[in-house]
Amino acid sequence: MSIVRDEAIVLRRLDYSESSQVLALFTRDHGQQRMIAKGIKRGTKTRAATGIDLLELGVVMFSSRPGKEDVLAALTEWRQEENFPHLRRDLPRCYAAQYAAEATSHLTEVHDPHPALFDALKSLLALLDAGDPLAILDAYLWTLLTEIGLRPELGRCMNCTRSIADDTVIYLSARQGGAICRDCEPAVIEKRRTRGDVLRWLTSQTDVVRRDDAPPREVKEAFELLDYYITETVGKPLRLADPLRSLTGLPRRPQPRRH
Amino acid sequence: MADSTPTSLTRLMAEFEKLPGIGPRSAERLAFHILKSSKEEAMGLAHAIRDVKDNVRHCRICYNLTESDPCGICTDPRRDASRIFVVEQPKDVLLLESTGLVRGVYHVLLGHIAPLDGIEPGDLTLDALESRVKKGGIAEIVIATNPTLEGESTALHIKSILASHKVAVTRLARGLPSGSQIEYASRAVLQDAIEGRREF
Repeated sequence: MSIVRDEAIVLRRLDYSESSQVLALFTRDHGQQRMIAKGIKRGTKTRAATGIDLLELGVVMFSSRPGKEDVLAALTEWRQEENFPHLRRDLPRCYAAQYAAEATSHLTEVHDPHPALFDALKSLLALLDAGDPLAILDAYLWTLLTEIGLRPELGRCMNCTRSIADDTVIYLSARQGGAICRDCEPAVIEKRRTRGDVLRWLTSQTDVVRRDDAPPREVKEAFELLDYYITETVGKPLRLADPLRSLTGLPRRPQPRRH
Repeated sequence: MADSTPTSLTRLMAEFEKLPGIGPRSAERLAFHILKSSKEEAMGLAHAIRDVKDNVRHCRICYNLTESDPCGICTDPRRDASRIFVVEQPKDVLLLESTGLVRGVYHVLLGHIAPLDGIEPGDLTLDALESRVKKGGIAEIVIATNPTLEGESTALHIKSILASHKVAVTRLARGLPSGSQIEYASRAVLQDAIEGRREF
């Protein structure tokens, strides 16, 4: 049994018995960790004085058994560092943050560290205090796909390999792993149509930073495209997708085109 | 469990074990306690369980648990019906009532909005709350949901659906609990306490 100390963000919280919870934490150096926090809801223990909330940033100490990674770790201490109060004052920002947490939870593996992605998630939660939440979310999701090695190839057609840098209409296919040109599109079953400007906006997102000049149309379409890609990759829509869409004025998620 | 244990006793232990916080040892202890107690005492427990299942329901106005519909709070003429305290669960009503400070009435949401857990606004009693406000005569809605991310999201949602109505929407204060020490307070609690400070 070893005690591990790390920086962590709370991705999920599930009640377990009357006063305990099972937490899914995204830690900086130990990847996603599932652990039980016994008696945490009582909030009387100094080791986690006020309980642990969703999307909180803190320093966690937990015990884990080497070689038994499938067993829940046990939380021994939590010190809250930041709870991002702006997320509690605005629903679209709150849901954008929860969408990021859900995507991270689905797309990263337990015990698979991604320090750069952790830093990006931390930046996202802090930056959501102003600006267009979808623009910041786009940048984070792009970073997420890059970090886990699932970033779609958008510079050339995945079928004929020709450059699509100047194309105005392009298709994205999750199964093909990237863009499909208009000429090859009829042969691909799973795909979503988009504009070249959207892909160019997306590929310009090299870091999770706030951009006050983000083009609103491209931002929304890029989110729809990323949501489509993540849905196809995960195999089901994220639970936050529709609530976030309705709050940001986007139509309900279209069904993927299949023949 | 040995085969010689009477079937009824085994069944009672199994039923106790289904209760939250009760493990096999506690279930065994409770079952033997029932066995040792008088028949009246044991049947009193059985009848209490039957009555709670037969008679307790949600009030059609506030969704609190009650045996009479509408509940005693909603029909109490001494209550200020223009002030509604909105809570997540019926047990929150009990706690607020225990303060003796609430002279208004309640509305129980029966949960909070939690998209990550698949709980959407339509799963709560928000429509009924809006209907109460639409009927008129409501001056203030006091949102008493938990100060968690889900509770705050629910509060924001309530605020948005009531935005078009002429009603004051307030939120319970947050900050340092009495008897606590600043030394052990988290940053978030201290932020709340500083932001919510008042003249002394």
